[in-house]
Order: sequence, then C-alpha cells, then structure tokens
Amino acid sequence: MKSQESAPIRVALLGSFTLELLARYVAREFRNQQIDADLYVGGYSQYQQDLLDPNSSYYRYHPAYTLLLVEALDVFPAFYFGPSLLTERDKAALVQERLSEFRQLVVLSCARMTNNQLLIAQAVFPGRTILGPLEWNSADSVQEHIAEFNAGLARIGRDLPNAHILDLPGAALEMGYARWRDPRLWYLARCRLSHAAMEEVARLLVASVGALHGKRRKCLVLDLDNTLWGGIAGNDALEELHLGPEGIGLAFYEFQRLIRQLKAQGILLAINSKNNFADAMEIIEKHPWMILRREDFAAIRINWSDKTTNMHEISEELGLGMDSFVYFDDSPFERNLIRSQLPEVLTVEVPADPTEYVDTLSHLDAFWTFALTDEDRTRHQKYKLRAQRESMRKSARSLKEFYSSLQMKAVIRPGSEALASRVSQVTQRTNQFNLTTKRYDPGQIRQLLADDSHRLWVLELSDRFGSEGIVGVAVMSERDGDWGIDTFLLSCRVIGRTVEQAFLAFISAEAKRSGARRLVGRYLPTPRNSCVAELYPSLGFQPTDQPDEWALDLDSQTLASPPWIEVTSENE
Amino acid sequence: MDERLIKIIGRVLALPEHEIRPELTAAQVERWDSLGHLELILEIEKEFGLQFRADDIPRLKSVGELLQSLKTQVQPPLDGRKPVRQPR
Repeated sequence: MKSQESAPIRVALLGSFTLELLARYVAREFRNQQIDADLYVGGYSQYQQDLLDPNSSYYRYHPAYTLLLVEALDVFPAFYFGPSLLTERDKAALVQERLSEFRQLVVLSCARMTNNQLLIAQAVFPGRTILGPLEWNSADSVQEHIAEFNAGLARIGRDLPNAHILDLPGAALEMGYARWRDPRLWYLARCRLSHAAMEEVARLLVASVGALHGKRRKCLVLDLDNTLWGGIAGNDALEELHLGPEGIGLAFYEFQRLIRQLKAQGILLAINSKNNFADAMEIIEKHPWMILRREDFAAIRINWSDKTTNMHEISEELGLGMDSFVYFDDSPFERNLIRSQLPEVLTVEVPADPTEYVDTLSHLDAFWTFALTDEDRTRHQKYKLRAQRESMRKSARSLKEFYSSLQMKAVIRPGSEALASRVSQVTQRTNQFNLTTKRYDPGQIRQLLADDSHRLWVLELSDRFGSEGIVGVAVMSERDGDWGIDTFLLSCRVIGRTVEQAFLAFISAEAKRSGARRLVGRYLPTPRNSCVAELYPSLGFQPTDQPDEWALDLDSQTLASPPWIEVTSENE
Repeated sequence: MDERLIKIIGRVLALPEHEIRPELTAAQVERWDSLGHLELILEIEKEFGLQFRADDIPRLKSVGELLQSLKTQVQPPLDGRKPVRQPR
C-alpha cells in the first residue's frame, strides 16, 4: 500500500453531482493515511456516459478502484418534490427501471475492467419529507421505495465479484442527516454533501480501499483492568468488579459481546496486561459474567513486564507483524508507550468513559473486510495450534525430531476458478515469506489460469494438530525454455517448517518433466520480506547475471523434498 | 490579523504566510478559484465554529473581506475556548 511498493493507486470518482470538492477531501485523506493515490474525477452527472462509452476518459484512465456515488435526490427527484404525483405502482416501476439501468452499467464496467474494484454507494435520502405523517400512513410513502432501491444495489454488488457496496445511509444516520447535507453547497456548487459528510465519505472510501487492498488488521490486543471489566484484579473482590447486568457493569459486558463478535469475524484476540497472572485468571475463568474466557485468546501475556516487551512476545508467538495489531487499553500512559515505541501498532484512542467503548469498537475500520473467508472463520483455531507446535519445538531434542513429530502432509493442486478469490487474498496479504510481493486481484488470477504460458499451484498443509488450509501459492511463467518463478509465497504460520523446500522440489520436478532448462527465481526486496533474501541460494540455486536473480539448472541439479513432509499432488 | 485565519488560508491556497495580507484578492491567487474558495470557506467555518449565509459566500473574495466577516460573525470566546459549532 505504501508508495514504495508500486505506482500510485488509481482511484476514480463518478457520481450524480459535482464531485470536485469531494475529490479534494479524498486526496487529503489518502495523504493522511500515507497512501499514494491518483484521482480521476467524473464530470457533473456524467457517470452514465463514463460507464457506457468504452472510449470514455474514465475507461482510458484504468482505475484500480471506482467510487460510484449516486444521491437519491438526483435519481428520484420526484420522490422528494412530488411524491403524491406518482402512484405507488409508478414509484415501484421507477425503482426497478433505475435498478436495471444500474445493473447494466455495473455489469458493463466489471466486464470491461476486470482489475477494477467498483464501490457502489447506497443512496442517501432525507429522513423526513414534505409528506410528514403521510409518509408511513398513506400510499404516498417513498421511504420504502428508496429502501428497495438500496436493497437492489446490494443484490447487484453480491452478484458481481468486483462490485462492492458502500453503506452511506448508515454513515449519514450515524452523523445525522441534518449535518450530512449542506443546502448552501447544493445551491452554490451542486454538491450534495456537507463539509462533515465529505470528510466522512473520504474516510469511508480510503478505509474501504485499504480493506480491499488486504490491509485488514488481524489481532485485537486488550488490557484487562478497566478495559474488559471495571475495577482492579487482586484489589477488588470478584463480586465488586463492574461486569454484568448491573449499572455500568453492563458497558463492560456489552463491550465483551462485541469483542466476541469480532472473533467470529476472524479477528484474533490477545491479552497484554500488568497484573498478577493468578488474580486475573481467576476473573477470566470464574467470573459469572465474563464472556471472553481463556480459550478465546490466541496469546496471553499477564505479568509485570513492560507492555512493549509483551507486544514483541505476542507478535513472535503468533507470527504476526506489528502492523497486524490493534491495541485497546484504558491507560493513556500505556497507550503513549505503545504509540511511541511501536508506531506500526494501531493504538485506539480509548475514551475516558467506558460507556463509550462499544461505540469506539464498532466504529473502528481497521478490521473491515468485504467478504469473510473460511480462513477468517478458522483463524483462531489455527493460531492456537501454532502455539502448541511452538511448545513442542521447545521440547524436541533436535529440529529433525521436531519436524518428524509434526507428521506434516502437503497437498499440492493446480489453481482453479473456485480458488481464485482465496488465492488473490493470499497474494494481497502475504508480506513476509513472499519473494516478489506481486498483488493479484481475483480477475487477474483468472487471467493467469486462462493463460497457457502460466501455471499456478496452491499448497495445503496439515499435520497432527489439524489442517492449515492453503498456505502456499506459486505462479510460474514459461519463457525461452525456462520456468520463471513469478510468485512464490507462504503464509507466515508455516515459516520454519521446510514447506518451501517441499514446494520448490515439486515445482522443479514439474518443470523438468515439461522440458524446461532452468528454474529461475528473483528476490524483490521490500521492508517486510528480508526473511527470504537467502532462500534461493540456500537451496542451491546459482546467481545469474541479473541482480537478485537465481537459477536452478534442471539438467544437473535436483531439489529433494524433505523426508518429513508427505507430499501428494493432484493433477489437472 | 488573525493567526488562525492566516494558517488556514496558507494551507488551503498553498501560499506562504507572509504573502497573506488584507489586500490580497482571489483574482491574484491561482488556487483561489470558485472551488478553492468554497474549500476555504468550509475550513474557516470549521475552525471558527460559524456558518456564513449562502449569499455572503461569493462576496468574501479577499483576505480583507474574510477578516471583516469574521469580526462581525465570531463571538469572542469568553474563556479562551473555541466557540462551539452551531448546529445547522
């Protein structure tokens, strides 16, 4: 996402009103988030022409992301200004007509640009109209038709893999419609949004681009005293703690309910707390109103070490970089410490009043994702297993004994249409064990699959503790009798288990079988992937005359798979 | 001159602060076009917690006029706090 990785991200804004002013807010928000972005701003109500005409300047711009922002007052002016001049049937028909136009536009755009992610904003409509009580007490009602339009937009978004829905009505409701609109800007500049709304739309758009770009954080790290419960462990008796249905205790109880929900959305939980371990554990295991119990946490640090040290240990235990963490602690001192020592961690600005915790957590966009995957649903279990493996590693007498004891089984299969979105997600999210850090969206993966000069494999790993699912992706491109390694990556969960050697041994055998002369790999350094800088030379690849490039001569060299991994392959 | 105003004008119009004098008009500044003007107005409103009338906005096209309008619009903060933004 940072500019060092690639060229600016190209973002297009299309809509039913003047967007130039909004574009300034969007540009500023991208700058604030240190994302290098370039903007295309569609003309006043030009979105239909831009999307219909294959030669439009919009298509020639080749955006990676497009925001389609259509205001209900622009699409259905009569719903506001003359709701009684239309019959119920007219209104329903008008909504269906607009929806089919929209579907056509979106389908066209997705077909023409498989690499573009289209964000369709749902339409915002005033909460009250001239109808007054007639709104819900007569056939003149319009709100239900707006709701149907927005539901229709969501159906379009669900039907197309590269189209997503941006919930602007929800944002407007949170802010209040009276603040969302600014009639002065409408009459002076034909802009439908107020200053505050433009800030919010910019924030939502940039956060959504981040989420689609694989920038989702993975783990919520929590303090305990006055964070998960009110009061001090070891100081206050169990029944004196604020936690449960009484008074302010409900704020902590409901906060925990939301945290449990985040876990269901694939977010790992961890504890980083200064306490006596036994005192805190007694509450976690015995308090009748605790929702989060010991087994809900993937990593636990309850001790008197400084919290930075604990963060490092949690990071190591889970195999996650600091930029995967969100830190929630009621103590301003601890927050300042983490913020200054570990700036990559997102330290939440926690309100002084615990009754605001629930809002703070639900407004956080760091955990946003546009689709939950199986990976998300099973992440917690996998990281728990990882911790068990780590303790086995410590007790094994030799590394070899440890590897053998794991009983690892790898299944390597060719990429397929069904795997495209999962493979894309892995390429977006893998930063450490990633030789080239090429990011692919699902459309690009499908193109690779259709292209005869490319081959794609995925590797699934299981061991005595269970299945890890897809942990490796390799993309090969044939050129001049060689196989070039376009992409080779492994999930950080399996780093240090010699899986890479098994995977490359399989690939080199396949390359040789198809008559290739050499297997050629490159290491493209990023700030995150130094752990694989020596991968190719360590496996016997020889340097070529190109910088950071290594080759395995398939005539004279073979790569052996480590004996402790049982490899099976499924052919096309 | 109001320091907060100078800071906003400098930031929104990308001008060095020493160039921001009451005589400066929109016509003399490249980025002070109609869009830049609205952006400037909205930033001033946010900073000073006030709201201009729609028909005043197009008239405030010089630093001097902006200054004058602030004098007539802004309630001096009683205890040094920023004035609260008026609900619309």
